[in-house]
Amino acid sequence: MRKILREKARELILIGVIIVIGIIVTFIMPAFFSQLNIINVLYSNAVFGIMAMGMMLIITTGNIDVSVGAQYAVSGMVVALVARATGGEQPLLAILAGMGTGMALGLMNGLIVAKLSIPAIVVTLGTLNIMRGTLNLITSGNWIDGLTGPFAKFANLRLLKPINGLGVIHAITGGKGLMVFALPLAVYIWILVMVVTYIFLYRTGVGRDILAVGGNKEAARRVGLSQTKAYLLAFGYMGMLAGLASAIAASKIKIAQPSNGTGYEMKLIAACVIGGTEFSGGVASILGTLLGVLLLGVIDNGLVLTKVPAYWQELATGVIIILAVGSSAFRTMKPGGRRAIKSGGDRK
Amino acid sequence: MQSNAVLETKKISKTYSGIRVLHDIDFSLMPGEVHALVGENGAGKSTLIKIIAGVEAPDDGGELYFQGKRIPHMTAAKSIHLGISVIYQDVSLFPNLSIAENICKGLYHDAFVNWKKINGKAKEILDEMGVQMDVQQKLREISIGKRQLVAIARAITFESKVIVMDEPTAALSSSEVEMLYNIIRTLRGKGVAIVYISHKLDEIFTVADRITVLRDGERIETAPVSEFDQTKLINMMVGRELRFVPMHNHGDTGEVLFEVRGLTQEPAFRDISFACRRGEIVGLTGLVGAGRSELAQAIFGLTHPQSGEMLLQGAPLKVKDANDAIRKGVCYLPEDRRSQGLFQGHSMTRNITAVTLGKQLKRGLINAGLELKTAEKYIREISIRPNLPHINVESLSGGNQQKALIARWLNADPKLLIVDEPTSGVDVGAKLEIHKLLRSLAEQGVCVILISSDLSEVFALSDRILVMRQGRIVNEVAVGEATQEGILQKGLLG
Amino acid sequence: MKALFQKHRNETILASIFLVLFVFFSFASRNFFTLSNVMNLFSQMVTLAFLTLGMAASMFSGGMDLSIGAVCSMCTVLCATFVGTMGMHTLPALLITLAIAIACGLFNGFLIGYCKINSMLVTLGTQSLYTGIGLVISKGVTVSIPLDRFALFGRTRLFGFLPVEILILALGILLAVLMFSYLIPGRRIFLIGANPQVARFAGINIASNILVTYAFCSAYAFFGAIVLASRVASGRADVAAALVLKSVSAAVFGGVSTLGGIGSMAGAILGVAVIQIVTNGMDMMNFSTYLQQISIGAMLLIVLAFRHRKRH
Repeated sequence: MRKILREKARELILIGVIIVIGIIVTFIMPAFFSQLNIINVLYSNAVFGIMAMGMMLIITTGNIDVSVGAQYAVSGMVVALVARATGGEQPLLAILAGMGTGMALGLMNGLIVAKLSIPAIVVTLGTLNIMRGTLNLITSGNWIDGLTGPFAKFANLRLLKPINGLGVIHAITGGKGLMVFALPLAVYIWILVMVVTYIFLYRTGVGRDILAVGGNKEAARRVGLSQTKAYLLAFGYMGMLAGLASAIAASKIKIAQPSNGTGYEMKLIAACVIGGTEFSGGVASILGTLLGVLLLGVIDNGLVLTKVPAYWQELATGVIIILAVGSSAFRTMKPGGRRAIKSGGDRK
Repeated sequence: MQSNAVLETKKISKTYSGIRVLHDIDFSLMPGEVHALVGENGAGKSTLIKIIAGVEAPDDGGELYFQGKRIPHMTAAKSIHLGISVIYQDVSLFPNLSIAENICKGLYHDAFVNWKKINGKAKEILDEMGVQMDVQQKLREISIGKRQLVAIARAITFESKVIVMDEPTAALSSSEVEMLYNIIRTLRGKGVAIVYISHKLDEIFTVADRITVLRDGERIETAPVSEFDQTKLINMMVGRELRFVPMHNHGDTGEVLFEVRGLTQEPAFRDISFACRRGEIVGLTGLVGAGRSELAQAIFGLTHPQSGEMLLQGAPLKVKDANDAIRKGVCYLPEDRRSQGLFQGHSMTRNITAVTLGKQLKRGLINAGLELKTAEKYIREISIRPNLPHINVESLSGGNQQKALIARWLNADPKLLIVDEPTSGVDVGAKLEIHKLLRSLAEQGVCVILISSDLSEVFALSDRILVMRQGRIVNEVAVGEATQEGILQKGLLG
Repeated sequence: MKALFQKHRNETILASIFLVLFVFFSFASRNFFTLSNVMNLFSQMVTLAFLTLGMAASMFSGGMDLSIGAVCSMCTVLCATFVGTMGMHTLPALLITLAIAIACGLFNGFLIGYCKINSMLVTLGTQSLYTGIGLVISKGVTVSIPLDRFALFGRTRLFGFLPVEILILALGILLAVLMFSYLIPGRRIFLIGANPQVARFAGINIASNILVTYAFCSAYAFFGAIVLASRVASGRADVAAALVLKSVSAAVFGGVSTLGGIGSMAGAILGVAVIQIVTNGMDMMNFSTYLQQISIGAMLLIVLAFRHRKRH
């Protein structure tokens, strides 16, 4: 029990903060704590939540990707093209096309970073411009709209019916039924992505190798782990998830724009940082990243519900990021903390 | 001579940018033996290990055999594959992974991780070693000493035939040292060959079967431990001959310039008191880890001692930080050129003027001409080669890099200059030049404290010798009264 | 002369590229080599140039200031609010805004230098914080400035042809070069960027110099802001957000290393100039802005790959 407290301190604090914010908002606006609103928060953050898993993986390898927004925009356009060409009848095909496109872009990033050993932030800055420029050139900045058919419905598709058998539930939920399992498909996809990421990172050999490369590149080299492979996997995974997320977004808003995803990179990095992912690499927390996304989402939603002007949101985000990085820095600076141990072996 | 040695080197040499650091080394390692490799800093131990581990390639002509088979091009991957494990202090482990994973990384190639198998295997190995650890704990959460044990466990897991331990006890507590001895004995019983490097001679006499002594890149002796006693071993390590021209103070030394009273900074050093006079070179020697560099850094204001006081020219000396120390005439040439001394990627000129920017000003602005003049002055005076002030300092030889760093401090007009291993990693010619330079500095009235593990250097240069052991000054002698062996026995061994 | 070329190789190459492009576009487009376009060319780059100079400073010290665009945007809002909404006199409004900008920079520097937190993490957070402050003050909308009160910095041409903002930029470049080539703190910042541990052993106070660095970044964001606010006669809390990554590109393009310790202010400004001339020249030749974007991205990667190859 104490071990969980120590190891998951950040996650517990985040949960606490989210609950406190939830209580305050509910106090002002009881509608916050309704199942419809909670599902709404999940639904509207699925796109971010999915991409955050990819960003987390990249930061874990000690890199950073500022071109995610562009990857998201490019694959979103591909998704919309395919969806429109098929009249929206082949949602799976459109999704796969988006994932494939995103993955190709991500692999390109990974390859350049690994082979030229140029800092990833600079490489992806270059590819960001190339991707956006090319996309705008081809589309002339025009969007693709009028997406219809099953494709336009899949993100919000409810596979399961609300539980509404008992009178009690009927009464409590005002006749809507308990919707715990009646979530939009997008939310299920998000959950699936987290499960897959978890299995990838904690249960597969290559996932562990990625963590090892992120933790100590030199040691990884000595053990014979390939840095190139780790980078390709991380960047490719990020691209694939950007593609998947763009398909969900296209299905939700039934439109794809070349300017989609502008500024997403910073918000994603912020979510990861709040969740405890370290820039130096090697440390990832899926639960933490999820909570980071949710915290930003709940603040967003809470401000809307309490009719606080939306422009307070940015300020709150900033304060939270600073508190998050400040607290972890404070922890490592304490004597006997991580930094103290880290520097111990350097004398040679 | 096809012996049954597991590892053998023949006529291995290594030259770094013209400096020969290893000279025709023949070294053999039998299965089931603990072979101690001893020598002073710079004797060539780590270079030899790097060659065995495939991290460095030897010069042409040397041969390396593993189990009787010649290995023409040893690489790091090949040496691991053959079963040679080198346990470095901290570099070859993953701080973010669990102990179990660190022990087993690379052992299994399953697509899906089998945690039960990994944790079980790690536990089994650790149990075998007689070590209690929670194998699921992250490596970053355990002490450096325990990490060392994890690295050994890793070597055992991979059924290494050769395990190299480089100063394995440096970070271990005394109970952990006992544990290590037991592990070594078990490994020896299983036929694993162990190369044991340590500065602590009593350890060597406890665990080693054979000893090879290196000095200045040459193998001096290899013999069973029974043929040595401490005196003999030390004599071989330091050599009887004076390798350097003695350069002592001929005139009278002046008044006391710098004094330390009861300086204490636990756990590095305690109750340090000494004085040095104007024009004097005071040698400060002792084994690695005796607290010499820590003492120097405290005097230089990088760390703050818990108690004690310092006096400069009779007045109390309080230093806030290193900048303050420099301003008051206290300078320190650090031990590690690469990580503490050189601004790599910057020109020689910028390296020389880095601490004396205030002197390079003309009408309040840094003047490139003045900077160049400063650099050229020292290039001329202490003959730094090549005569190219704008050259990237990385492309200088070790000796010239060191001279550039000394120039940096000379320009700061030091009253007290502490030099920490000033000639490590420089060739013999440059060593001599640096010695002359330090002596002429002393003659100009600067008080020089020379920290060095190289006793013959200390003897050649110092007017007085302080010996430190375990954070204390244990012996102080004028150079005329001392002999190397005497110092070693009274000071270093205790 | 040769030695000068050797020492400033990177700057010489960039300047040559700039000249070649200049000649090329002069021939390729009739409208390029006119007084008004050349002035235009320079005045368009002023805000980006100021941000790039600030960005370069943070990169010299081995970090990266991602909050620079937020500070710049916030300053436009502050100027607009003080002068436009509150009707303050221009000079006190500018001084108060500058003071707030420097306070923002000092806050960054405090967290990075004294609390030893990674600069990108800190400035990612303060980026949101400063944008948020700007948003809250402006209530999320564009705050306009009465044209006559703030026209000096971006809408006035001396002698009928010389935009005042070019003079401001010239002054800014001069100060930056002075700081990083001729003043002690600037040199120390370079040395810290090269290797903080070595700097410590050379008696350089790391924390206080980092504080100076980030105050410098924010001050330059302020200068970028007054020009920008004057040109668009308004302030908006996200007006300069897109310039952050652009300024990183320009600085890297100009030879500033992301790893610290290497680069020059002259290089950084030439990086901006080359990017600007490509944009402007392609504009004149009626290439789409998208093609400009692609060329800038490709140029960045090619230059990096080239520099990287030389290193090995």
